[in-house]
Amino acid sequence: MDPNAQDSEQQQQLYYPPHIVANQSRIYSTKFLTSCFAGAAAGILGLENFRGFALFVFATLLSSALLWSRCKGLPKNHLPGGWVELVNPGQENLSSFLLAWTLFYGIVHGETIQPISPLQADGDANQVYD
Amino acid sequence: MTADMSSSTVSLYLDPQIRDWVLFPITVVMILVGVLRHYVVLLLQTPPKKLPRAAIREQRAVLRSQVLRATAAKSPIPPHIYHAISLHLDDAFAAGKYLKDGPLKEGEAPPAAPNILSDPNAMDGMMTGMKAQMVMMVPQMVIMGWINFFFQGFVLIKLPFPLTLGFKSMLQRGIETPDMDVRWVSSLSWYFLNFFGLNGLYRLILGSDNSASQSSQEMASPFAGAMQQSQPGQPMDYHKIFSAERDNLKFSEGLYNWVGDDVETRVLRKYGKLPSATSRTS
Repeated sequence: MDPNAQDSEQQQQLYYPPHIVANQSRIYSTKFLTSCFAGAAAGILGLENFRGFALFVFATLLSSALLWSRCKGLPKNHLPGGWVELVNPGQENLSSFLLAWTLFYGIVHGETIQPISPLQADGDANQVYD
Repeated sequence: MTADMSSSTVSLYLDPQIRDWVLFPITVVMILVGVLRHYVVLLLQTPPKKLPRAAIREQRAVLRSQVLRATAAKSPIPPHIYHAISLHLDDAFAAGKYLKDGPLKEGEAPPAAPNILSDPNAMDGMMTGMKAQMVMMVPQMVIMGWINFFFQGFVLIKLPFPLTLGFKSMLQRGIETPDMDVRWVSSLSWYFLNFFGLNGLYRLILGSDNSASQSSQEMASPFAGAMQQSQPGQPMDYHKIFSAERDNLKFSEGLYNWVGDDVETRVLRKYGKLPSATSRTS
């Protein structure tokens, strides 16, 4: 038998499933709240395009750094996936982020008139589509 | 490129009434329908039927053997106990001691596996799954119809991120403007954003095993719920399972390794009382 496979199997044996499930659900709700607040912040600040996603990435990294310190630097002891599982926000939370972002952007900046000069528009267009 | 440039110069002024009477209602209705769906599914669920004692014993015997061999490679059970349990289970499986209908008589052929569709218990489980699926599907159709009927034909909101033109036909359905930026979207797109984005909220307010969110494994197969439901009553051919279990037990005997093997040497070495040069390969 491959020694690595055996090692990981033995490692797997040491996890107690209910604890893992509890950890995962707690981390999930932390991530959900992170993405919601990040979305709300991005929307209220009026961030557009990649700046909003950058805020999402930043918030995800920040929250996973905090979680990592909660795990005392050893996420592998608490989650079978290790730090990848700790950082990975998951697709659902990305959608939640988009939802909150769009909602708050729509509420705060949705119906303001933004007069755009042709020059500025040109720059914007290039920025968006390059 | 020219089309893109002209589209980004367009600035629309959206009526605040649209926000108050379309954006918020759609979100609130979707959240409430999700909660309602959760409780309807809870009401539809019938408690699993109680199994007779013999049937439970049959299942638990398989479970015991599985637990025993799952940890065999680094078993916490000392050798003499492990071998005793393993032998006992092997004998019992061979003799058919734990079978629901008792051991086979001389010259009797094992009964054929019962058909899933003819077993009323299994049908029950399947029906529950189907009902849950209906509760998932119907509100979605109704909300989509509602949105299409009342809120079609105008721009609802501006997305804060750009999309490719491929999304135009989907996100701006009912708004016949060939040049408008794809970022201005109709109410149906807001519905889809809600549809995908609210799962986390459902998990937060209803718990992780709620019926409101469509989790990926449930989406994968409409029968996933049914399978889970019917698991306890599912007819299985325990003759075959037991004989397979016997083979597995024999195989695990070979794999077996006690976790406490030469533990004293390892402990001594860990605390430096033994030179590590004499380490043996285990």
